[in-house]
Amino acid sequence: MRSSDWIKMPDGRLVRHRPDRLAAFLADQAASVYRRAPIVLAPPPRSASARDERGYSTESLDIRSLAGGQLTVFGAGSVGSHLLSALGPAGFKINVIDDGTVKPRHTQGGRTAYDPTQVGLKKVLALKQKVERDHPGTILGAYPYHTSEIPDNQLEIMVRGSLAVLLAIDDPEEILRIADLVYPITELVQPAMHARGATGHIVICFPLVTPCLRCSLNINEAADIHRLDSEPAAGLNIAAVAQQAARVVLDIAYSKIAGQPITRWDPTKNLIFIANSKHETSPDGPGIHSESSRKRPGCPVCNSPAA
Amino acid sequence: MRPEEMTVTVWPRRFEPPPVNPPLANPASPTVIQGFVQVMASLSQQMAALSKKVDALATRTPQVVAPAQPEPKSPPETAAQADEALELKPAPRRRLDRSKLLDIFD
Repeated sequence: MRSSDWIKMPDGRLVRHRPDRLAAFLADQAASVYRRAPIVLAPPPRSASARDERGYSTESLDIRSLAGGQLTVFGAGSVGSHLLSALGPAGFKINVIDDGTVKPRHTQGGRTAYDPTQVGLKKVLALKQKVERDHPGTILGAYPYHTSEIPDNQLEIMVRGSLAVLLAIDDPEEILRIADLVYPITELVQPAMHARGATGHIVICFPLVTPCLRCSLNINEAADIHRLDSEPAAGLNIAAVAQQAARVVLDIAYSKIAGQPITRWDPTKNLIFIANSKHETSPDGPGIHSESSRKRPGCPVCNSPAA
Repeated sequence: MRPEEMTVTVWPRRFEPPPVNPPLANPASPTVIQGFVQVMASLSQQMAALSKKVDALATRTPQVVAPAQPEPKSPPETAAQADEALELKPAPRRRLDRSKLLDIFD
């Protein structure tokens, strides 16, 4: 007895299998009429970190892949507002913290991204209006507070979910407090303008990898940083530094989301100096100069061993 | 008169048959050997003259020669020549003075 001739029923009985020749014929015909296309297995997904022939890198950044990522920006002044305008197309969810109000002088000469119709509004709300209107999909979480009003534990919760933190404030105490707090958590980008906007810099701190902000700027305390109030500067010069900082942030975010290495610039050189005119680092005219920094022995923030 | 003599006499010069290449000389013929000997003799004479020149150069006393004055350069024709004329070199990279990065505004 061949086993294929008998079918075991649910109650345990064996029933002889009698093939229906007509049904078999019709099934055979139907199979030929409704022949399905052969199933082609999709190629296995490639590893996100694999560098294949398409040469994935941050140079092939697809800005659409960044939608929904979270950023935190401290400061919505001249650098901060231009920075957020540049980041708008990426569709991020951005927390913005600034307690300032838009004043008429802010809207002159392109110094900020605000326009005269927004005078009197809180900066963060004006920015929310502008960015969310211009870039549907981008969400600004507006926090009209001074950073010193937000305790460390609240700040930590905010930055822990962020792809990167941008520090565009000029209060030396707060710069160092936030930089020290963020350093072990996530990427920190600190753009700043120098006297008359002729030059600017961007410090980039990769958590526990590159030196902290204190080591990068070679300072020990807040008193080492001097704040320039109402410094005259051309809006385009401020926007130039903000644009560079925004591009750096996009690279970092893309690198973290897509698992791609940063190839557009050398991440070990974490101090980017931008000259808006001739400078000893770029004697022929405007230019960008990148330098690496060193963790100073015994730095409590970098946690580097004492010499 | 024999027929060939008649031909030579009667045909005008312009109707002469084209010249036929002479058969190759027998390599072992006395003419070829004589030519080879002549060539070798000429070569040996030239070698002797050259060796005399070399000996003269090797044994001469060094003379102090005044450095030649550079010729006045003609105006450069291409951008590369212009760069070369200006002796453009990449400027050395300078380190930033980080204390100058601390006067900031946002």
